[in-house]
Amino acid sequence: MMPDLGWERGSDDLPRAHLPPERLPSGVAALRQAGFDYLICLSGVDRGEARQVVYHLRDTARHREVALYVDVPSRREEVPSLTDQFRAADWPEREVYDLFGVRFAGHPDLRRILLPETFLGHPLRKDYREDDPEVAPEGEPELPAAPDEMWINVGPQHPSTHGVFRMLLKLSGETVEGCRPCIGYLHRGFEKLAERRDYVQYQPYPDRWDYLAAMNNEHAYVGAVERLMQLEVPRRAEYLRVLATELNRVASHLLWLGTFLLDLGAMSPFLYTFREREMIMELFNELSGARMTYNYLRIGGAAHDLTPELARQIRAFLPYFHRRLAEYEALISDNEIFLARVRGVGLLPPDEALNRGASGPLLRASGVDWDLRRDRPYGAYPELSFQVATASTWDLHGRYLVRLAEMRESCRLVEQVLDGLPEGPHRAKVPVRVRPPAGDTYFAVESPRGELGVFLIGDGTDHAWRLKIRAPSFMNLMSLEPMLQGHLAADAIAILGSIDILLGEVDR
Amino acid sequence: MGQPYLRLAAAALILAAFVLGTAAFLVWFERKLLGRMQVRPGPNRVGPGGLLQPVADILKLTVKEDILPEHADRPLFRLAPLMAFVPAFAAFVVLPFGPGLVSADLNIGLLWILAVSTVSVLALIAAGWASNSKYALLGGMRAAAQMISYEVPLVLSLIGVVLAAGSLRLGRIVAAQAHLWFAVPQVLGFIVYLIAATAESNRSPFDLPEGESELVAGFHTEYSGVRFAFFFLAEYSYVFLAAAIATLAFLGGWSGPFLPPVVWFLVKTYAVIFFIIWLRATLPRIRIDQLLSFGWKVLLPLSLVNIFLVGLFRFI
Amino acid sequence: MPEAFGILTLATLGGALGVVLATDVVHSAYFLVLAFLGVAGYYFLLGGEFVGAVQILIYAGAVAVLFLFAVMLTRRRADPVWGRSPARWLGVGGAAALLAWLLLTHLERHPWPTKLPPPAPHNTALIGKALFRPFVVPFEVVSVLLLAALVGALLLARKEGGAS
Repeated sequence: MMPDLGWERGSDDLPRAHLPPERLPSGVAALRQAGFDYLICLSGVDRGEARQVVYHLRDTARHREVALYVDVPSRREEVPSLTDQFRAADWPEREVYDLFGVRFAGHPDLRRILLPETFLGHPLRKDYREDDPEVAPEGEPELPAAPDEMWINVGPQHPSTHGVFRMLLKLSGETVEGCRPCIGYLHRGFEKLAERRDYVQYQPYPDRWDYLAAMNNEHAYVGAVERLMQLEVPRRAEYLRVLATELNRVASHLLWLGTFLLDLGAMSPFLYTFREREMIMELFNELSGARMTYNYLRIGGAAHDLTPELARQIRAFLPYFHRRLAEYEALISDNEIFLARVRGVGLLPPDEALNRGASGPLLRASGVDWDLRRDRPYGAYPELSFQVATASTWDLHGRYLVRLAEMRESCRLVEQVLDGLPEGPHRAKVPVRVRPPAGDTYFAVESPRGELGVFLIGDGTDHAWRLKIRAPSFMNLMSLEPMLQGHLAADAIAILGSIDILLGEVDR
Repeated sequence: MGQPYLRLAAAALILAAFVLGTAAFLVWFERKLLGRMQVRPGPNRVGPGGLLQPVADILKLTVKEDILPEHADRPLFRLAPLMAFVPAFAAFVVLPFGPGLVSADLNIGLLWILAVSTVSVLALIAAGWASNSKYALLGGMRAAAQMISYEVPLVLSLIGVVLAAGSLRLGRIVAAQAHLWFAVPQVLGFIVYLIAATAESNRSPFDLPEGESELVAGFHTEYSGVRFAFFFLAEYSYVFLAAAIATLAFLGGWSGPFLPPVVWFLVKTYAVIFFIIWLRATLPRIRIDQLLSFGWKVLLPLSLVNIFLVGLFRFI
Repeated sequence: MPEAFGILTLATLGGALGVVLATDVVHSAYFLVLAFLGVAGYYFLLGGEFVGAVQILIYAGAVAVLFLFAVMLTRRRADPVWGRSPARWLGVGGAAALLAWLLLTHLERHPWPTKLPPPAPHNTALIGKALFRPFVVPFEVVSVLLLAALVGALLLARKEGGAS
């Protein structure tokens, strides 16, 4: 069933194939025929002598994954675009063009995405010099509009755009005809930074990608490094990681719930959810020493062990939280006005969602039953039991229900961890100088926003050669435009809120 | 010769002080109540229990720079806040706080209040227009459309009361409820009135004109300082007015045992205000198309049904 | 009170002049509101408080809003403002003078009553009875006319807007 593209086994046991650029479209088409329906990650790499584009594809039905490596010719750095086969290639290709200078033939709108349009140079190239001139004078492009249409600007400063996000909406009367998201306002160069720090030094950075789900970021990073090192993590440490990430999921969804309802005009639930979040912040403070940027998960395990006192506090929190969840449901779930605002709004059909690379609650609310914790298990998840929530309505209501259910399941997982916490060290013995053998690996976790993946390329030294962050919010944002089509302007903010983006990981 | 003028001036001043004082008090009342409902204390620094917070707010607004948008329509821009506020005053003139405690007991009392309230729509339109911003204009239009749409069920729900009492005079209406508050037999009218009055005052869940999550800016976006204060105070005056009418028309006005009538009137009015604030704390915002649809397709028929029922029972 | 009459006359005439002389159509509309309110005041002075209140409710509250919507939604800010040429002044002034002469000469000749009958105490109820007994047919006809206008407006809006 798999097309013969010259497969070999990579260092992380993933089938990989090297393709010349001209054979890329047909190879991908053949893979799609064989059932590969999801473009997980599209990364640019600078191998030194030449650039390379790496494609990770998945067959969701049969749980298969492959990686395609395409070397970019040095004379003319251009590769065929995959946007006609996978809409999910749109923004990642723009990003590779932006940061590496590789062009994608056939891309509908190849322009910079993270950096300003007038930026000079491509920073992630190994030959980029930081002291080169950076930016030419700024100019705002003229946007085409028919006589009865108008472009209005939302953001980057706006009470409701959840971070420094800007979108231009094309309105025809009250209806949204088009949308042009502009990102990059929070670009901090995390991927380049990884090349300048050694693996140990880089550990505090992942907290700051998606700062509301920091534990998940850390897990993705240390997991990738451990894969590269082939390091065995103690069971106790894996359980602690589940504890941390699941509590983080609850906290993240709580914030989402409060802000989503705030976007709809209900101001009180925001304060209630923050009250619960505050408790979780306090628990994390006890556990790791910080309320938001924990630096708790380290290469080999966790930084600190769980004390019996803290375990007791967490146990006390759980039933309290269950009661609160019931309160939220009573207040919100049957409210007529709420239902009128979320039912049938922001529809995203499942095939669209998959083709655009959506993941997490956004994907599951569109009816696709896929959760990395169950379908590509990692850490302690194979030993734990939990339900995966999906919805069949494809709308905002579905996303609300899925996240509410996920909070419940996370609490169940935390209970299981506390009940079944194995004895043993909370961290493996790790050498002072972390120097994994050379190789490539892709490691992903199920963060509250979706599939958070790290594509890590090591060159045998203590510095990463390339760290590519597969950010769920970045990929999910590509589903914004189809969801907005035909809706009233008033719904645009609610629809954006329902995706639950975090600009820190969108822009990195 | 000057006697009637002096009395007029005195009455006007007392009324003005009362209206402004009530509006200011309501600012504190709402913020404190909202705070408590949201698990936080509300204002508690300025004055005992934060009671002087509105004073601080008004003072702050008064000393702010007076900003006029560049190509704004100056006369209208300046006039709009006054246009919003004056009808509230005019309506308060006929409000009885107790038997005989009224500035002018017009025999068309209720109709006068309704008539004068509709003039406030002009203020919103003026504010939106004068700001010279496409979005403020649309916001103003939208607010006006909302208010006009909900005027109809508002008035119709009160017609049931007028039918039952046989008079437009507020004193007579209260007297007619001596045995039974109109809220009981006309519970449908009461509910319609409460919803319509909330929408008329642009209060949540009908506060689209002010919603920050709406893309279209509200009609008072370009207003700051004293002018904004006027809109702000006008809104609270209307809330009090709406609650006072609810009390007079449906909850028996100042009737009640033991306590003096004024106290009962204020207690009931503030009970209604409490409910209105409670709505704001709890409910999400309704969308413009859903709002208009609800007003015309649900509230209007219900208010007509109410009138029909009242008429039927009068006949029997 | 004669002072009230004086103030109301100022308001009404001032409003009317403002409608004609204002350069911005929106200003004209608001001056018209002033005139409406002045007329409502006259009704009150004459003892017709129901009509006065309805004048405010309908004219200032609804008709004026209608005018404003029509004006604001159909013009652009950059519309040219009516020019003021001497020829225009002459023409308008002449027509106004002719109209004034016609009205005043006829007004003078007509035997107006100088004493009004005292206002009826329950004139609201009287109006209501009049509408439902001697004038019930015109009342119903006007209602049907208004209904037709409402339905017509809805149909027109539907055709243009498509949805909703």
